[in-house]
Amino acid sequence: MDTVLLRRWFLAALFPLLGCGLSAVQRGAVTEFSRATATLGATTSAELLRMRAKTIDMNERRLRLGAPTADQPDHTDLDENFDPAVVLVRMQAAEAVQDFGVLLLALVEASEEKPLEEASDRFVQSVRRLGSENRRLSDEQLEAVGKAVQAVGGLIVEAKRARAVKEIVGSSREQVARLLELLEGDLDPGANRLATQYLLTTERLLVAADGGLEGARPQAVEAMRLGMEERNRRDAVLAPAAQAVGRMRAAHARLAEVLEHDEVSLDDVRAFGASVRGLADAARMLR
Amino acid sequence: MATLGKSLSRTLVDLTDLLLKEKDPERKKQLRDQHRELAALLQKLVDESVARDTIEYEKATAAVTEANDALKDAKKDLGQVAGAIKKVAKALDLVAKVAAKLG
Repeated sequence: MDTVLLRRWFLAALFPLLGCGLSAVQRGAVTEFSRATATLGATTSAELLRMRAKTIDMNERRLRLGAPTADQPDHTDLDENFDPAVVLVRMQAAEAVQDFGVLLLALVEASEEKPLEEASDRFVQSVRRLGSENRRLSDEQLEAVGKAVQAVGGLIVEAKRARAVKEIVGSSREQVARLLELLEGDLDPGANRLATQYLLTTERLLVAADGGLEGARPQAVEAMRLGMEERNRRDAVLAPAAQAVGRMRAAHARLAEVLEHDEVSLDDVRAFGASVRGLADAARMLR
Repeated sequence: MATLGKSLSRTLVDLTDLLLKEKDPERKKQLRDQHRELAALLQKLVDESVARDTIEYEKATAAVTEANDALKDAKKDLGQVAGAIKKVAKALDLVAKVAAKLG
């Protein structure tokens, strides 16, 4: 049998059993989404910890200013709603989102080329060692079969990869969306959740510092500076972080559609990637 | 609720700004009282939301952790394809050796 024909026959016989891998568009969408998700998870986690530390810091400064009792924070509860258990649950959620991105990327980018190549070489060598009476294939034909084995292995890998990505992204859609909704609420200063607690503490510090400025006390000046810095950070990092999480929800829904149909616009996924890159830059600058 | 929270937060920030700019002591005192009242109201809303969400977080995180385990298994499965081909090749290798001895 002709070598090329032999190889084609081998592949053609197996191809219908394998299904298809991810298209270039699907692979690109999953890669962009996964990278941005991993970055957003890490940024969110760091922001939660930072908000807790700064809340304690700001309340400590309010205590030092010696404002009237009604304006003082509870000295036994300086972290207010940022209790360790509350923050831990949210950090675990952010880390689960981060892991989702990292694992999805690892699944899409995992390369099985080398082990398949090794397996193919080994197959060829094994057959070559057979005695001539048992061998019906020429060296050239043997090479072709070896390459076909490698190619089929690659097709099996690609088909399995595609099936797994589609199934997991589709089935996790609601759970990931719920987690993102919760995280978005905690990062949005207007959603009555943790970022609002941070806003409250900041605004209370500014008012307390204003009361202490009349005597030109250095502590009041320091407190005012800290309050203003935290306000800037709230606008520059927290509000965009909440927006980025909102975009991620839209991108995740779009990704599931892309994996189903391969024809949907990727604007949501790209917008999410761009907003996370901007957010990571802002967080680094204001650290 | 999120809309009410947004408008309350915005009002509180605006009140702070007014208070910081105000020079008249009497008006400053009025603004300070209003600020305290509004902050207490907002604090109550935050306390309720944070406690309620903590339970929701636990449920949703467990579900996403399951999805992550599925991703790990799928990646392992890809590696097993190459492993399976290697095993076949190894078996053929042994057959070749046995055949060579018999030959």
